[in-house]
This record gives sequence, C-alpha cells and structure tokens, in this order.
Amino acid sequence: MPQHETRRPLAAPKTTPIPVSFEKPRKNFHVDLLLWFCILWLGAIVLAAIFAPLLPLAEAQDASKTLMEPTNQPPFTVPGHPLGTNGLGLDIFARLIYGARISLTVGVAAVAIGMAVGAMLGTSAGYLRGAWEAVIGVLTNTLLAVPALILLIALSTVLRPSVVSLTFSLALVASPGLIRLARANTLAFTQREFITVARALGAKPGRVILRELLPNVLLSMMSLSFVYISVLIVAEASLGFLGVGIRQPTPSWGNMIAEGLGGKMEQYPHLVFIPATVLFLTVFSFNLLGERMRKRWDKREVSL
Amino acid sequence: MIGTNTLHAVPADIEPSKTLLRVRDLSASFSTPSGEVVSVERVSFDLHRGKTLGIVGESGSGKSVLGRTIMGLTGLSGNATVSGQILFDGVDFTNPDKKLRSEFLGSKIAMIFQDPLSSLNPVKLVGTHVTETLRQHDRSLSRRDAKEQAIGLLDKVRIPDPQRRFGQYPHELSGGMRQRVGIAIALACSPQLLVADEPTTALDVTVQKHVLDLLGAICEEQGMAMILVSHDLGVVAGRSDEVMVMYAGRIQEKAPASEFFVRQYHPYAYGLLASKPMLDSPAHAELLSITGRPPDPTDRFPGCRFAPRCQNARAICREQEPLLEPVSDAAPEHKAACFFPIDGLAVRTTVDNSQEGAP
Repeated sequence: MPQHETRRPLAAPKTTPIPVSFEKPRKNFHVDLLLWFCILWLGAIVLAAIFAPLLPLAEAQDASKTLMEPTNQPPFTVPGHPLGTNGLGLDIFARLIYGARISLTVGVAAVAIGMAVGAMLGTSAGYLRGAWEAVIGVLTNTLLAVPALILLIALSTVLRPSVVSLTFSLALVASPGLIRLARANTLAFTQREFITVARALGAKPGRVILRELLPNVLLSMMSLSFVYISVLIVAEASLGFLGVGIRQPTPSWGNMIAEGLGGKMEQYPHLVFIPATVLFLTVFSFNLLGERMRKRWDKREVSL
Repeated sequence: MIGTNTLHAVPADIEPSKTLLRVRDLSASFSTPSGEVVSVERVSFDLHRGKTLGIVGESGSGKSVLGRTIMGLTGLSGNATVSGQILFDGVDFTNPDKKLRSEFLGSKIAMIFQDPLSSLNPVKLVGTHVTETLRQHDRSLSRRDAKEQAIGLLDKVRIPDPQRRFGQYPHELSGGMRQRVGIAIALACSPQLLVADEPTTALDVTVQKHVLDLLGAICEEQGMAMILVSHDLGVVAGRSDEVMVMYAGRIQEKAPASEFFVRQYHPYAYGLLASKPMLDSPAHAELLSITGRPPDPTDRFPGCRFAPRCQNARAICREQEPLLEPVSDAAPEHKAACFFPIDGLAVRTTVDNSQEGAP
C-alpha cells in the first residue's frame, strides 16, 4: 500500500511562507463621489439661498427694472447673465437662487412641521392607545385617502397662496405618513422592556413618550424626512407649474418651469431645462442623502 | 382588601428573617378577545434569603408571567387580574401601587430580562442605563459619583475596559456583554431578590455558561436570593437550591434540586428529564418524548392539566385537581401534584436495564 507516499505532502515540505503583513489593513479609501457631489450641491444651494440678498445678482423679480435687458437669452451668451434671461429679461440665475429660497424653505419647514406633528401624534397614539389612537387613525386614513395633489389644489383655492399657507398645506400632506411611521415604531418599542421598566418605576406617560420613545422614534423618522423633503419640493414645483402655487413675479422653480408653457419651450428650451435640471439635482440629492442615512442608522437595529 | 389586614395575620411561626418571599395562592389571568387566559394558577411557595429557586417549564407554562407578577409588572397591562398574596419581606407586594412599586423595584427586587438588546434603550449610553438606576433610588447621588459607581458595577460583572464601555451604545456590545450590562443594572442598588427571566436564552451556549456562572457567583457574594426562570433544565441544574416544574400555569412538582434531579414523581417532570440525552445512557437509546401539546390556555377543563397527555391518567385525574403534596414521608420537601405519582428513579432504572439487556 503506497499510503505513506500519498501522505508525504502533508509532512510539511519546503514551503515559501505566506507573506503576512502586520501593517494595519488599509482603510477603505473608496470615496463615495456621488454622496459628496450631493452634499456639495445641497450645501451650495442652501448657502446661496441663505445669502441671496448679499450676492451680486442681477434683477430677479422686478420686470420694470429690466426693460433695457435682452429677453429670452440662452445661457453663456450675454455678459452679466450667466444662465441667460427669461421673457421679461429677468436673470435666470438670480431667479433660480431666489426660487431655491422658496422651494427649500417650504420643503424643509413643511417636513419640520410634519415631523413635529407626526412624532407627537404618532407616538402618543401608539403609546396611549384607546380612543386617542382611534381618532388619530381615522384622521390619518382620511388624509391618506385624498390624493395629495388634489388636496393641495383644493387648499390653494381656499387659502391665498403664500409661503406660509403653502408650507402648512404641504405639512398636511406630509403628516399622515410620518404619523403612521411614528405610531408603528412606537408600537414596536413599547413592547420592549426598557419601556416596561420605566412604567414600573412610576414614569408618567409624558416622560415615557418624551424621554424613552421620542429619541428612538425620531431617529427612524429622520431618514424618511429627507425623502419627504424631496417629495414636497416636487409637490411645490407642481403647484407652481399648475399656477396655484407661488405666483409670479416671485420666482419658484415650479413657476419658472411653467414659463415655458405656450410654445415658448420649443423656441427657448433653456427656460425649462435649467430650472428642471436644478430641481432634479436637488431632489436627487435629498433622496440619496436620505437613503445613505437610512443605511447608516439602520445598523443600530441590525441584530434585532 | 388584601392590604394591611393580612399583614398582621401572618402566622408567627414564620421567621421573618429567613423567608424573603412568600407566595400564597397566586393567580394571574388575562382577559383576551378569545377568552380568559389563566397564566398562573394558585401558586404557593417560599423563598429563603440567599437561596436560588429554579422555575422550569415549556413555553406558555406561565413561568415568565409568574416572574413578572412577582415583580409587580403584570398589573401594568390593563387586562390582567392578579389574586392571591405575595409577601416580600413581610410587605404585601401583590398588587403594588405606583409608590410601593417604584420604591421596591430596583432597590429590593430587580429583574434580568431575556433579551438584553430589547431590554436596553438603543439611544441611551450603556453607562446612562446604570447611572439612571443608581440615581433613581438615591437622588442625592451626584453625576460624578454615579458614574464612578456605574463603572465599578460594570467592572464587577466582568466587562473588560468598563471606562470605554460606559460611553458606548448597546448595539456596539456583543450579546454576552449586553446581558452583563443587564446584570449590572439589576445589581445597581444591591437588591435582595433577583428575578432572572430566561437570562441566557438569547445567548450562545458558550456565553450562557459564563453569564450563569457570573450570576451564581454574584448571588453568593451578596447573599442575594434568585428566581431563575428557564425552559432549560440544564440551566437550572446545579445552580438552584430548589426546583419548581410548571405546566399550564400550575406547579406540578417542587423539590430540592439535589432530590429532583435524582427522582421525579410527576409524570410530566419525569418526561422532561427523560427527554434529555444523558451521557451515561446507552448509545442509540431512544429519547422519551411527551406526546401531544400543552392545553389551550382558554380551555378551563376540570382535573389535572396534564391529564390529556398523561399515560397514567385515570377517571379521577379528569375530575379532580390534584394538590401539591409530599409524596413520601421520607422527603417531606419533595412535593408533586399527582394522584398516581411514579418513581422516576425506579422507572429509569428499569428502562435502562431492559435496553441494556436487549441485543
């Protein structure tokens, strides 16, 4: 039996040692370019929107001041108007930045209101249960049953379109989803022992909701809120496009896109493409950021 | 009604110094849409200071509810009814009011939960959990002192590098470490009674042993009594002074641990032990299994709860409820609730012999 021969290779022949590096493994240097682009884009937009009055921008609103300016100029053709001008000779770049003020304010403020309302109502409904939960449930389902855009159009016919009224209308659209999320999360967290223990030690409902539940619930709402910001920016733009949002001459991304209506887009495509691109990039950035946040924060729950 | 009146009615023959927990006719039931669920039924036992009581039973046997009822947590859910009496150190803790509960929980009675990840608040630091408990019961404790004590506690439950762990979140710790944090929280105010509700079920087998050994060592160190609830006989074996077998809400057998693992009188208790593979049993021996499944908790049929699954059941078993009584005069502490107790030791020996004799 040549058994010993087949065994021979096992008896440690001359082997070249496997090169072992004792250096620390290199950190993953793969930079998430897309994420950084989104952060940079949002940062630039936000900064520009905040400091718009201080920037050396051409006229964005008052058409009486632009009587001498060329109209409908495509980008990079007229000095002083980097992105061209619109039908009234107003500077598109300036209008984009002032439009960003409105779009971002409305989107972020509406989501902030929705978060506050959603967190309070959803958490209290999920924790207190009973009649309160039933009331909130009916309210939420009713709001969800009405298509968002129709609700917004209906509201805009009643309320005078302004930044404030638009913010509250959009907050009304954002709330039901956030209420539901908060309630569902609360139901899950309430089952856990740290809540039982807090109650056993005599914590009143207010304290349990504020100190134990809210920090947990808000964390999961945060990533959804970024997605909602982008949804609401689009909703605001849709309203502007339909002419029931912010009215001209105040610029918003939606009513800027609407300037291309009536055959003007075929002649001057930049009137539509520039604000649409800006809108797209902003919404994309918010979505991507929300997605990355969810991935990052979900690690907390990974081993549940 | 069971308030202070019964306090005076405590018989004088019980030394208050020896008995820490006295449970009499304790029942806990929940009203659910599908009917009244009686999870714990007329349970009575005494627990002496520094002793460990193991409660064993399968899922749904009421062992966890019993533990939670002793902690006064059952009353928190609105649909529960608790009757009977729990005397903790002479104080009636049956349906504790808010004040009594917040005074006792943590400082006198503490609990370790099954899943350490779900029992800890994910957005609170590990250290905050401990300092919170410390400061809950001693308001005058300063933040810095609390932190120092908390780090001491983390060190005590053998968490390496407690300084660093103090500032971490629960999700950054491994399962075993998290359960150690749970133990540290429970120990924070040096309670006299620790209720450990399946403390190792969510853990790896290797980690299980470490955590159980730690619990045992700490109990011994501090002279703390412990109720160890588990579905695993192996967890309870060797770590408890007394063992109680629960089935469908009732105690079926109760005995000193040394006695119980040698000889079981109740067919259910015997079945539980016989279903475990033993090192000294012959190779390829068939493990015994109890046929059937536990009764529907909403179905309140008369007689012994185990009768439908019991091979020895006779007419009386389905009519009358057996009482938990000593089976032989030789061991008055060994009680079983059975009309026709078997002798587990004798049965096993004959089974082993017949198997060994077979070709």
